[in-house]
Amino acid sequence: MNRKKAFQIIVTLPVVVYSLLLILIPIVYVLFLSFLKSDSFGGIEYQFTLENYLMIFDIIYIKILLKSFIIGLLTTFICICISYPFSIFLMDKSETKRNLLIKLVMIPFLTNSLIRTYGWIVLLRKSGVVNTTLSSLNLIDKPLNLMYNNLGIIIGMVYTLLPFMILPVYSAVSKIDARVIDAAKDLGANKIKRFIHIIVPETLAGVFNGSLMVFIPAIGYFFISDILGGGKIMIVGNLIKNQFLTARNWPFGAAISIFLIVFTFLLIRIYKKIGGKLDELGGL
Amino acid sequence: MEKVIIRLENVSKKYDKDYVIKNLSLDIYDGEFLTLLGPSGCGKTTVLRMISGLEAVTEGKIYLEGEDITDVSPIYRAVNTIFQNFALFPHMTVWDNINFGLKMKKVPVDIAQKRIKDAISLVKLDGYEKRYPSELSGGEQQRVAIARGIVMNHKVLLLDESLCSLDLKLKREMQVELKKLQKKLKMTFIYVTHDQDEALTMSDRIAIINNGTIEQLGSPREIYHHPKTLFTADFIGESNIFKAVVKKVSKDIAYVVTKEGLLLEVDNNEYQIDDKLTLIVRPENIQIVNKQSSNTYIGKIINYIYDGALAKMEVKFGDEKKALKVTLFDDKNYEDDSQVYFKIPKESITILGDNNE
Repeated sequence: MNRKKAFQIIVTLPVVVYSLLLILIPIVYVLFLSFLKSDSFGGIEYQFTLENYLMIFDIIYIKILLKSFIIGLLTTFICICISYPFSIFLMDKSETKRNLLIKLVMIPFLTNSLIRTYGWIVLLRKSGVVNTTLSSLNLIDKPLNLMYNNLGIIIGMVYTLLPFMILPVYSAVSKIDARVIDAAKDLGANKIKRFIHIIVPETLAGVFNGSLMVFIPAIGYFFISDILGGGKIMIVGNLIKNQFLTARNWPFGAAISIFLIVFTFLLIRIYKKIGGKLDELGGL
Repeated sequence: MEKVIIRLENVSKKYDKDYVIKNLSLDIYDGEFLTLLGPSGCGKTTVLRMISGLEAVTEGKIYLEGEDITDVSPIYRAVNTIFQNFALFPHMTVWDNINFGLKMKKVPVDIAQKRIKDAISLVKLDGYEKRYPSELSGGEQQRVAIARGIVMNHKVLLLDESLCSLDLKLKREMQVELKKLQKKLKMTFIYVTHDQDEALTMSDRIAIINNGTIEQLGSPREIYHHPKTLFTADFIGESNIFKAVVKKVSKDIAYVVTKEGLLLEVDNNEYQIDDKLTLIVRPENIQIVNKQSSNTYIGKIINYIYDGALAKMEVKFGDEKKALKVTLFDDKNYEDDSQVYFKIPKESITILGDNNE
């Protein structure tokens, strides 16, 4: 009995140490920082204050938050709009085809996302592949502004985060019993009605799961807004990064971080309220 | 003449290169309970799915009340299916499940409400309206599935092995209820099963399906007592099967010798000497008798099993290589290894023509 317990401790210890050292302690430190004052030289004064949190509600930062949310929501929405047709398309394909297509979705994961984002510059810039193709087809007179604006950011976000939506949505869609779909057909539901009345309600958990995994990184992926937004557009991710690296106001950066964490937990609470099961979120 | 509600005309179904259904023709009458009975993989469910439209027909035509519906989408076909696992919508209450089809057909709410209430009381689910399928037992889910089908007021209901997931007792109850329901609604039920008991107890007619074709079509009585093929005889109930050769013929009687060496008298049907026949005898038609007479032989009882209403045994005879299955309804006790005379009455022998298989 004792040996069994010792074994259990030994195998779980690395995970516990890892979580403590690299997740819990940094978060506690950030929380601690967020209640301190910053001095004008980028240092920290060990004095309790709520000022950092109040500062978030400054109109400048509210605007950044709103913009981030809009970009996040749009990204999430576009990802959902792509994931559903893809998953439904896969439903009645053979196992080999399905596996192949899902593997294709996974392949981009093998390359660093920063590098992939740089790759988009080649495609999207004024003299990039998309613009030259369109103008040589005489579809456009002058090159489109595809990057260094919100559009570029959203393209980059959707591209980077799409697999996180496709996988849970596909997994939820593929769990629907084919006979339930048949039953709906049999009772007179056409494609659109089957989608609205059967597929969507049956896969809400998957969509919510995917939405969390897309929306939260989307408001934080500063490198995408840096590269494809040309550094002109600020989202929450950039804001935090700037507080730590440029503005050197660590307590304020910490406060925004904590704000984001609390916000995420709120989203999960809402999910639970509307009847979602936590284990369907993959143990979040 | 009864009215034909569904007609299958030379219907075939091909998956890849193999025919699952070959040239199947079948008339289904208005208000009958027809069972498609066959072993798994025989294509019976495919036939059902072609009628519902969920499976496309490769060749042939399907008519519903005289109208060609071969290419009509299942969405618009006036038939409904009860699926094997009931296929209820898990996120909808009982009420919403039953209402689904009406909502799709845009039936006015007040009419829909009345019809749902009627359907619910018909399947005895009053008080369950707000429950979810996961809160129901198998039998209750079954009832919801039936209500969801009949509420549509279509003339034909297709049932795909709908009782097979229920336990034995519930299955028996549902068999009776289903039959009652069908009579009350005067609907046409097309029922698919591999369970011969279900088929025999509920059906007006049974179509025995094997390898994608209809082996035999007829009332349960016909199918049971007059199997036309060896497959039917073997599939429905238990039977003793003999291969025999005609040795002598007189006006009414033909004398045949089975492979095991039994000399039997059978009704003559213009047989010629040396004709090869297959004889089928149901176990309950074999009699244990006291004295030797025609078609009587001596044998040794083995595997005697008494189960209250009836007694089952096997009787070894001749070179003892083969045992006859015998079912008796009397309460007399027999011992294993005792010698008895058994009689195979001439009238109870079903003869299949030329000894094909």
